[in-house]
Amino acid sequence: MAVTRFCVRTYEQDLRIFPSLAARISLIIFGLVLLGLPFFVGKYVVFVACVCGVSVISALGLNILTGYTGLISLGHAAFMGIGAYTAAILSSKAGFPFVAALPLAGLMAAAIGAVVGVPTLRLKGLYLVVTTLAFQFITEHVIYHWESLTLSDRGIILPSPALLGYKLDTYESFYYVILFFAVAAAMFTKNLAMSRTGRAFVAVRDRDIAAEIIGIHLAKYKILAFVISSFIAGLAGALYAYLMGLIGPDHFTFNQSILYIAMIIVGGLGTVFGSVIGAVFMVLLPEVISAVTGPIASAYPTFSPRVGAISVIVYGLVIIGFLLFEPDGLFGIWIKIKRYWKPWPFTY
Amino acid sequence: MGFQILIQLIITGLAWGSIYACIALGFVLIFKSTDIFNFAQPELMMFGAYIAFTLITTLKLPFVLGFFCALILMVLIGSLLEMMVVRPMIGEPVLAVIMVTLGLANVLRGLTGLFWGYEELQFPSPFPEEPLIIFGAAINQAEIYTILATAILLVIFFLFFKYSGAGISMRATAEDTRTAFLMGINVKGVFTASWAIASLVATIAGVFLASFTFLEPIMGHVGLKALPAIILGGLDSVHGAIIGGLIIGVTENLAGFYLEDYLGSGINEITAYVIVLIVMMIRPYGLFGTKEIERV
Amino acid sequence: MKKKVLRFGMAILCILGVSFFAMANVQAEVGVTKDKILFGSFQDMSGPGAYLGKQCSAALAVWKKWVNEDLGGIHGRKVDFVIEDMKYDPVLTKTAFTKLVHQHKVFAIITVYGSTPCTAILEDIKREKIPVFTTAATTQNMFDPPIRYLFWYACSDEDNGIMMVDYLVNDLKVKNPKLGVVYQDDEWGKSALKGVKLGAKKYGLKVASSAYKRGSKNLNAQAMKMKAKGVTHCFYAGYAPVYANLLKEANKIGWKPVFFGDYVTVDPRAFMAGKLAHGHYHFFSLGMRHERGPGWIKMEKLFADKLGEETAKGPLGWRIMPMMWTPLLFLTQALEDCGRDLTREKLVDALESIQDFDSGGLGKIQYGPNIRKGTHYYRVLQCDAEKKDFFPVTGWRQPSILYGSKERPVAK
Repeated sequence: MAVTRFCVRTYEQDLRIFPSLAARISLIIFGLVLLGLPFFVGKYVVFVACVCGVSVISALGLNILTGYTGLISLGHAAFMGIGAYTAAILSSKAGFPFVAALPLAGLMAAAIGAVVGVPTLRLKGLYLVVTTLAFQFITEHVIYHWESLTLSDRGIILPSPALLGYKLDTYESFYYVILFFAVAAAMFTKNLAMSRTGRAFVAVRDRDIAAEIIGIHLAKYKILAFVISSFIAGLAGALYAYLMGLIGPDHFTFNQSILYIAMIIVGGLGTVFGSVIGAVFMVLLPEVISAVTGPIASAYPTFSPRVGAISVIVYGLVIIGFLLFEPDGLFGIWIKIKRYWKPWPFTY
Repeated sequence: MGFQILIQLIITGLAWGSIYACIALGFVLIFKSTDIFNFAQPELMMFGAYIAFTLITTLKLPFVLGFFCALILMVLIGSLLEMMVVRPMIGEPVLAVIMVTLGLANVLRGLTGLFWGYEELQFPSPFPEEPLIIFGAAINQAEIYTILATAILLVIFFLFFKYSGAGISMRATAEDTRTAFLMGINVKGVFTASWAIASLVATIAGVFLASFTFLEPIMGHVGLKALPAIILGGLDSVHGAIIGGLIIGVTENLAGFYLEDYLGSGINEITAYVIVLIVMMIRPYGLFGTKEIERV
Repeated sequence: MKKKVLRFGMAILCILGVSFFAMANVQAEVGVTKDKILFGSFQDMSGPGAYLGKQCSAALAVWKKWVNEDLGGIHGRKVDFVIEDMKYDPVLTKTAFTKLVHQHKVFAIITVYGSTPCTAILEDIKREKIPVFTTAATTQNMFDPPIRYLFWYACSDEDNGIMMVDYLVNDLKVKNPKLGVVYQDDEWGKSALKGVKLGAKKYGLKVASSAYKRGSKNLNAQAMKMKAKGVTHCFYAGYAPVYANLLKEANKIGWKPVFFGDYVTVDPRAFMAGKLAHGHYHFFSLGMRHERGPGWIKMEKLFADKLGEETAKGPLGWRIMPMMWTPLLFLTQALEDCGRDLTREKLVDALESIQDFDSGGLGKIQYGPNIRKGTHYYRVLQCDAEKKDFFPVTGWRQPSILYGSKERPVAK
């Protein structure tokens, strides 16, 4: 991750959350655009923005685990599922309000994350990957078959969330909730990465035995990474459940887990910016593809199965192309552009 | 009756286990030599089966000839993929390379949908449908052939890695790529060879799987079961992958029969993962994997 | 820096402009302009239901050409439609639904299928009050309790399950059958199990059951279990390729029951099992092609006209084309009944009030107040593996137990 340090000259600068004035101003403008978005665009765009937001939160959670701590997990969707089902069951069966169900969903996922984190003390690399994969499939099985609690594939209908007596039953209003949590998650991750804990995570990732020698409590930090990551995933899952209005076991499958891994890799591992942009990219890519292929499928319906296949191919090709071009992901491209412009006009 | 049921369950389990084993073998070969986890392996299996299907049904080749032509074609495709897509990624972060193989999986799946459509197709099975009766247990002939083929593969690969020059250079590359390179081994060739062999075994798995089920573009999902198989056997162990596959095939079939009433339907689909969790608690490097000694 | 601000400003202006254009197009009823009615549909184009997606798309294409060219539109309006891909995935279904409703602003959603994807949007249908006129479902909870805006042309597997026991006891007069159900372990399969159990209870029989996970292909354990329990008559709920697999598996282990497949197994892919498929029974609510009913002949001709002889062969080769086509005929009638002043509420009322619709032998279709099921009569078909087709062995009939929480239409 050498590229991440490129634009920094002093330690103070490195410690700042927003390195330069330009970054701060563009962030403010970006923030204003996000705040104003629902006023300018249609409902559907707001809905897609909400899905983007939830994916950003979830990807940030996974990035703490995989990007910063180096523990690859193929069970991220399962954690989201646990959060989503906790929120759904609490709010639909026990009548918990939105504000109570949300943190409890996170805590539930975190508690299970702590348990799943234990084997990581002994397992490394792909052994860990497949263990988390096992967790994913077992969770799916439990959700599917614990019918008295989860209603299996009929799914649970969630009441529309309310905040301080104000009903958040439109995508526009819920958009702001998601935006708040997405910003909070990004700030938290950025801060965490600069704290002692974050640096310990990075040390564990780069060489865990060396990290242990210099006094980092391996067990504590590995499990902590799982706990934080699954808490955020649980939160994202709960938001997702409220956004969808109805959740079923098919919402949190292995394919979703793969998608989240794809987001952080395509975005760039171990960076907040990367997770954000990667999540947005992976959510929007099918949208863009379907914006092109959709009209074709509608105009030539007998051709539509072909169109479906072609969109799958394009999806794959775009991922391959991007990574062949820049293996550090979108963040790497961003840094390259920045590096190119930095000494401007004295480029040589 | 109980005894015959057990035999039938075990034989079918072994046949499915052989399929898992062949896919797992491909995973392990590529992982051993290139350190890349090839997520497109199940799709290679599917693609191979479809190519064999076309050669046999459209070009009307006899089964054995069509099968061999498919093997050759898939070896070419596998090597090409390695050279075009994976080789430029050498030296890049491992996760990025894994992601590329995931993209590759999408492309292969899309191509299959484009060429052959999404409907299930019947594979022209060469094996007689009438079951053999052994000890009163009825056994499908396709399954027997699958098990035999896997056994033969196991022996061939054992001999290949033990005695042939190519096998030894592959082992050397797996052990330490850089040193192998310095010793004058053609590392690039080894990488290509590992993809070629992986495509070959994948095609074998695909053809057998298709001949006792059917063809469909999502048949790659079966290949996911190969993951617990390799972990069970130990990531870097070729015979471990095969034995892991067989263990998983048999136990899941037994669990499906005996445990379904207690643990819910679909228990056979997750048995593999439960076994993996248990084994990982006891042996964190699999049954036959080597324990890595890390130096700092 | 200034450049950046300028660029942002431009971007915002662009977004503003585009969105105002979108808003300016205000209409009386969503999706209806003075010369066009816009419908939406979501299809599986690259997932496990892609074979249905293909047929639905073809039916829609023929329907559009037929209405616009032959009928000259509906009360002076042409029909048009947009299709979104949902890959048989609940999340993508929700996305596609939202896109159709809020972006394309369609008048109604037609010719969609699948209980699993539709479950994900049940709440949205209620909230948006948009008519959704679907083709096929197998589970009771899709239309019971009824949702005003959601219409199915459904064969419930409860009905099929009850009919199996009826047929066994009353027609085949089997003494002491041992009943079994092999089912896909989702709502669809559970419906079938419930149906067979209801029937079995009526006649005092016992049921053994075994489920397999969706997407699973290895049915060895399930077949072994059924054999061990000595099942002689087995109901199957699931897709046809898996049914073919089950037949092969049963043959392999020497288990020779009589199978009863639900309507989804009336599918050419059942013949993937070759002669093993011969003689087993299936339940079906549609007219068969080989009967040469007037509806089928007309449909065949239209498909050949609009798609071309060759292209039409594919979609018509499946036996379930009436499942897509009859609802479209029905919808055309309802749209005409609505008159020039077309609204969503009016359409729902029109769909409810059509009585004795003549489908030309394609199968009965009828709704009513609080009745959202559409299908009420079935026949038992027997499979002929040599002719590769299914032949009716009974007349149109209803299950002996009319199961459900709401009133059912009375047999006529």
